[in-house]
Amino acid sequence: MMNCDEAKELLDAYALGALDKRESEELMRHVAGCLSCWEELSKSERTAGLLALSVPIHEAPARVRDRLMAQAKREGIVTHRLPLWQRLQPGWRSTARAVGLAGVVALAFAGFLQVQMSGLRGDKNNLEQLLTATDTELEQQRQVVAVLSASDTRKVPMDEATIRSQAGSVYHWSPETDTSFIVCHNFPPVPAGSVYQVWFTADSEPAEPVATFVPQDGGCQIPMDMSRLDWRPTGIGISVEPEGGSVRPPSRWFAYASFEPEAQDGSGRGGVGFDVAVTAIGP
Amino acid sequence: MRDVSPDETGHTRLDDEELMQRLVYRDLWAFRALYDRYGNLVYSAALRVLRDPQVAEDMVQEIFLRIWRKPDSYVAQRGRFATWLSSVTRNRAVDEIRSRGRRFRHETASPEEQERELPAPETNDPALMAELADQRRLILAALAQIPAEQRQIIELAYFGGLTQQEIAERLSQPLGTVKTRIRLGMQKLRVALTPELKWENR
Repeated sequence: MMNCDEAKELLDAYALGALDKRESEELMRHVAGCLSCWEELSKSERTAGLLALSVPIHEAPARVRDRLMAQAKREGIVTHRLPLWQRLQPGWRSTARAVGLAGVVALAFAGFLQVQMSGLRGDKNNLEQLLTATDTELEQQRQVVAVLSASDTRKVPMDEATIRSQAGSVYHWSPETDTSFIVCHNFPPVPAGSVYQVWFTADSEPAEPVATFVPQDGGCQIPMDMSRLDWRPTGIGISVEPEGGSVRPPSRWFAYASFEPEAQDGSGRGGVGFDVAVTAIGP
Repeated sequence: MRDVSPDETGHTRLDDEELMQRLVYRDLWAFRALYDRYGNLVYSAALRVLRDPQVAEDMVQEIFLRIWRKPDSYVAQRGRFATWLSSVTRNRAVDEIRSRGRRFRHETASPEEQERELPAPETNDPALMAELADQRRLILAALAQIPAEQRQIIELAYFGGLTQQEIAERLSQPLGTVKTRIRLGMQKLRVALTPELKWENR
């Protein structure tokens, strides 16, 4: 086992990447258990790190930017292929209203199981869909189930008042775990070059954008991590924005709901009252 | 994507950390603003190691897509974004030349080549570029203070991706000499860069 003197001889070379694999591993075994060498190493690494800023600056060809933005755009917009909610979608609103939260959870699991079972039965499409589901989608699904499973989850409907469409959305929020997701259905397709954008609002803060999405078959399901906010939102809104989203709070909402103060006490079914002020998407 | 400038969407007012946070929400304009700030730096760091514009272009694409896919890989407490980004690029580029084998490794540029000032490329953030250019001059000045034989070895290791053993073979020097020169050179560099390192830590 290497001692401190031997280790300190190697720290600079390690920071420069000049040790071979065996030397590196041996050094790391020592550093892992030695605070003084660990501190020295971080100094060496910071010094080495600055060297990377010393390179002569060349201009990257414009095609690099174009290619990169095109690829990021392909990967970036939140679109959902949702076996779970797509199956629940027909009549979802009325069903949800009728059965309440417990029923929704049960239905969600029933829907999930149904997908699983039809996959087992050899339903090729579903099986392929499950197999090709990306990590992101699985993670999103996990988050949604986590919110639904929390004992304090509240529902804030954002539907009812649409003027020209049957669009509706419901915000599911667990204050205890600070997690939430929004589902939408019957959302009209966005105009070319636009996306829907979800915002948290508060009286004292400018609206904070949290996600953009393009509905698939009119539906969406977007988990949200509220712990990133350092203020407690008092409302949630959806607006239509140019592709890529906006940082400027919108002047009109496509859908909006505020969380009323009495909603915070957790009493009553679902626990949350709501105001709904929804405007239809305009040309 | 409509060609709206990041300025129009308000992104140029955001600092690096705020832009990185927006990537979590898949904010494509934040991503574009970050690229406009640092695309040239990443390209230049990759080019310095790889010495091949085509391979460097691919590396820029890879590094930025990695950020787009995993924006939380940057931890602000560990230092400035620009330093982190250029180090990540250098590390990845060195991995690349190592995996391609020795034929892709090149001698480091001569000091004259490194000192040569290139016209500053156009950017949406002249103040930031001026700051980076200042810092670059300070780092080059610090490098210029250390003896040439120590500097050469440090650069062969950091930008050339060579191990101490390989440097000793390349320069026909005893391994012990190479090790000593690395240590002495880095010690001097650390002293000369003390103000920069403090700044890095704030």
